[in-house]
Amino acid sequence: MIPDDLLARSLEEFRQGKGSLEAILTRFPYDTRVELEPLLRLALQVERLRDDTETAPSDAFRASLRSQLMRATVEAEPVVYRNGHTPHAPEFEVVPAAPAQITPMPARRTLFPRRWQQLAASFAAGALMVAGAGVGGAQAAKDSLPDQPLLYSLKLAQEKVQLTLASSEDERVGLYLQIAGTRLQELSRATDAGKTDLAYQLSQKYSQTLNQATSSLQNNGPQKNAISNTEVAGFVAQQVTSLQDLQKKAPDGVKEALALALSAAQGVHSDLTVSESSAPGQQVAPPAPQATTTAVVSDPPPPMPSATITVPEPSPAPGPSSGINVTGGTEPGGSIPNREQAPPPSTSGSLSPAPDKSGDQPPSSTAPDKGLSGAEPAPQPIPPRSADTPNTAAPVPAQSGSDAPAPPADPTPAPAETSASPEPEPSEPSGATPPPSDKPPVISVPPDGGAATASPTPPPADDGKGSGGLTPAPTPTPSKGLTTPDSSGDKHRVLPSVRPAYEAEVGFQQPSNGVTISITGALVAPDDGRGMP
Amino acid sequence: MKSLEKGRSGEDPDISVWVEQAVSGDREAFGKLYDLYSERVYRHVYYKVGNHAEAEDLAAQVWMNALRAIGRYKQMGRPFIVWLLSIANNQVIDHYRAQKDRTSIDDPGLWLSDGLDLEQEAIRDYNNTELREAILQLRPDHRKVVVLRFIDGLEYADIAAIMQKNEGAVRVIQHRALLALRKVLQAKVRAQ
Repeated sequence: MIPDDLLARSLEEFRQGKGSLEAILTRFPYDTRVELEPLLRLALQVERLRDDTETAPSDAFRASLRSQLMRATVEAEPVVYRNGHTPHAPEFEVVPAAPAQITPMPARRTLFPRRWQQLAASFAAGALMVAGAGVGGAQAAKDSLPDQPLLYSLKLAQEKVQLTLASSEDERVGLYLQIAGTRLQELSRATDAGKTDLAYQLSQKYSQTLNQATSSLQNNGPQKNAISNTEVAGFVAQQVTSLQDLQKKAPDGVKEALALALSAAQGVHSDLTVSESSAPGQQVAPPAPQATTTAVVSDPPPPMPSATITVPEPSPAPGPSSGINVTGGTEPGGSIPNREQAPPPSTSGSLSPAPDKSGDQPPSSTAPDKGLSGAEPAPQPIPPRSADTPNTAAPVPAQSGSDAPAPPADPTPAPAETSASPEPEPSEPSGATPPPSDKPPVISVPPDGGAATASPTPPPADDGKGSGGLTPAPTPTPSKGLTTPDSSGDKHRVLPSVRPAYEAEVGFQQPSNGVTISITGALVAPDDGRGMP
Repeated sequence: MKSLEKGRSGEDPDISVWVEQAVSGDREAFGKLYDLYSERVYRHVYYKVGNHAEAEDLAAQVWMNALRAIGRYKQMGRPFIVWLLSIANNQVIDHYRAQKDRTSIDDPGLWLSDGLDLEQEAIRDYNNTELREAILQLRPDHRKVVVLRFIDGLEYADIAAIMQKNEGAVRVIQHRALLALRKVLQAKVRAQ
């Protein structure tokens, strides 16, 4: 038998053109040649199969799979290495006809997983920063373009971490807008450099980010947004203008790439404008009878296509919703500014329990426009703009004597206290409308867009069906602004995010069976450093 | 068809750029890599399962897995196709693990081929169908080396990386695989 390596060496020599097959074989004795030749010829025959049409995929299959790959949404997944160097991730998700997106965090999370997640994300961010320093620093990553894969992937990872850390959908919208602005800056640089390929890439990324922003905006629901459609549309309109300017000076090849981004921005702008015009309640702030908070918005949203974003400038004072609005008690990430407008299901208390817990009403979070018992809501007392406008809500002190939660088992709980929340829902019985006599705190927003203030709300009337207490934390969490650079990157505006800290106890009764459920918990802003009591 | 023999340091510069772009999230670049390598990946998978229906399913999963993992891809000095074929191999392993009905094709009957006229055999030219069917009858490690080496056109070092063996072992398996293939083909000729 010939040595194992002889066949390999002979094949290698033949491939390298060191001689014909016959010439190579003649170097060996007859016995070796007799054994080697059929194997060499067989090997060369097998190589013909490289172009065997019988084992090629059909054109239809190739096209279909390619289309799937181009549309596939791939979820971020933990790194899994089974053998140290081979990625092996059998599970995947394909969502047809959907742009790639980062799956938002679920709205409801328990406190500890959330904290662990934040810890992990913080660690990841720290590791990323260390890695960034190793390759030239975070600033280098920040200034990178996609033609610098390492730095740019670091940059994208940092953005992803920011999105992961976002505690609310509003904050996520702001981040997406910020990222879109970053992509636009990169697009501008790619245009200046005449890099057509980069411009195409960045146009695509820009479009995706804008779509993600609008998706996030819509996911949150118009009544819960601290950022209104108008504001986002204004932001996008500004970018449309920038893109148009950019297109004028761009080389021909890049112009086509810019046209993609421009088309996407105009489409988003158009959608938002239509959406906003169909929801005028977001632009106006008529006080509603059932509201316990009256918002005075002195700076209406900018007319479209205004390029001015009307989100507040950074303010050291807390945002309006940080001191006045608490609903959705199981969300540790903070309250959503206008959720109070949606009457709660048939529960009482200062936290609005999820309907699936009370079991008799549709979730207010999914049907923000519906009142109790499915009735059409009264005019929304506070438009989302009240939280968007430049303002600062003064900390609302706890209502004396009214914060004590009712005993959980009490079928006729004590009056719910809503020391900070303008919403009537905590104290509303099922199917009832809130008493119009409730005196709301007043958020006043100066015409100059300065700090807004909120006055305390008197305790809602006892509805006799539930109880609960809500106490703002001693130190209201200041609103954490999100800076959103405009297309030129030299202006920063602030989109508010709300991270209030509240302690609350709520008891509510299911009318159907008289079972009373009591929940005690705390809403803690993730970056407050305060946790569950 | 683009050249299959790209050495470890001989990756086409265009391909390297596409890979970098795909790693940074450029889906179009990933599409270009798909256009370039889809046939090779499919053919590789086909020779694992021997039929188009399963090959299509597996090839689709291989590419989806590749898309999912592309962000973690790191240039390790090997052609991108090596990474893809590694995913394909893992996918096929999972496929058979799930089925749990893999039958050994290490048929003793295939080795009873002594006594043939070797010189006559040396000039025998097999058609593609004969070769294909014979390859599919090889035992797994033999088939893997034959496919990786002669059909996928990988270097020994790359095959060794995929199979987690050293290059010498790969050469030995290659030699034995060709001997086995030849015997399978001879048995077919006898049967005719």
